Amino acid sequence: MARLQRTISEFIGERTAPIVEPTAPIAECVEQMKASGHSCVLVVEGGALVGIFTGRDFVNRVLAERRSVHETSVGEVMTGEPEQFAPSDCISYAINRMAVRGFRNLPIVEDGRVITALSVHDVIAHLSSVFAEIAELEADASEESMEEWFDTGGGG
Amino acid sequence: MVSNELVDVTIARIPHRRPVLAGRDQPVGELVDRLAASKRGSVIVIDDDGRVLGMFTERDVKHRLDFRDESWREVLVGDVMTVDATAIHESATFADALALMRDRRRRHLPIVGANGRVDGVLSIRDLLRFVVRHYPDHFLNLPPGPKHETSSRWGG
Repeated sequence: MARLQRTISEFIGERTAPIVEPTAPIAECVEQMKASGHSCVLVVEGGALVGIFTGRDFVNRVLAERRSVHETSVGEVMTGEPEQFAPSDCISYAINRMAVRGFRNLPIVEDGRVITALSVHDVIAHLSSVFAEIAELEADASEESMEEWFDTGGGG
Repeated sequence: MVSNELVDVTIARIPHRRPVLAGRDQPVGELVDRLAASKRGSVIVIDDDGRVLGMFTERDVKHRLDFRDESWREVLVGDVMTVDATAIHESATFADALALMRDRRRRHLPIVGANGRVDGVLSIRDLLRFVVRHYPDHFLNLPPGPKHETSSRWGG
């Protein structure tokens, strides 16, 4: 079960997600996303995570709503109090949240300290190895159940 | 080599959505509004025969438009789209889609039928959702980490 029990910390890319204050203008957040290659910024106040702002939010909450990229602060349009994940959480848990809730960037926080964001691309890069693990597990499970069957039914 | 039933599933059997389609001479302001209204992340740009010319995504919005004034709304999508006719055939497999998304860092792939026309779009979330439903024992009812409270059957 090694791969499924691998932790989020093993999947995090090398470049960390940008961190901004709630007062940062949207234009600055977009520049930071572009420079970092991440599709989100993490919003931190007094060291604590208070929100996340993504490329999707930029389209939906800024551009489509005709807000100014210079006069709007990220604190006005971010998703506040996002679900947080720990580096020690299972990768299968992160995959569940991405699938079920549609999250593509998960804030990673350790003991209150904001580390980075796990992107859906980080997960996808490793998904085929996760499948291999599941396939092995299921093969093992069916072998075990067969052995059990022969043990109980052998009669000898 | 991963050998299990999921990786061989064809794209046609993976639930996916109707695409947002546009011709290359449509203004991006209009498309941004359509993306927001339909809660999508990409527009597939097609020619008169319904064949893929490129994609216009949140990434193109961030990287290729200039937001100093509102004139960006009038820019034609054909001038700022990612010119890439990559598409996946409906008879291709889950594993093919995963590899394409991983190798090209794509979150969306146009799905084409036998006639070469676009008739769907496959997203990374569609793939993850399919995985989670296919292997419920591994991805549902997960033991949450100590920092997560279980509030639903999804484990989060």
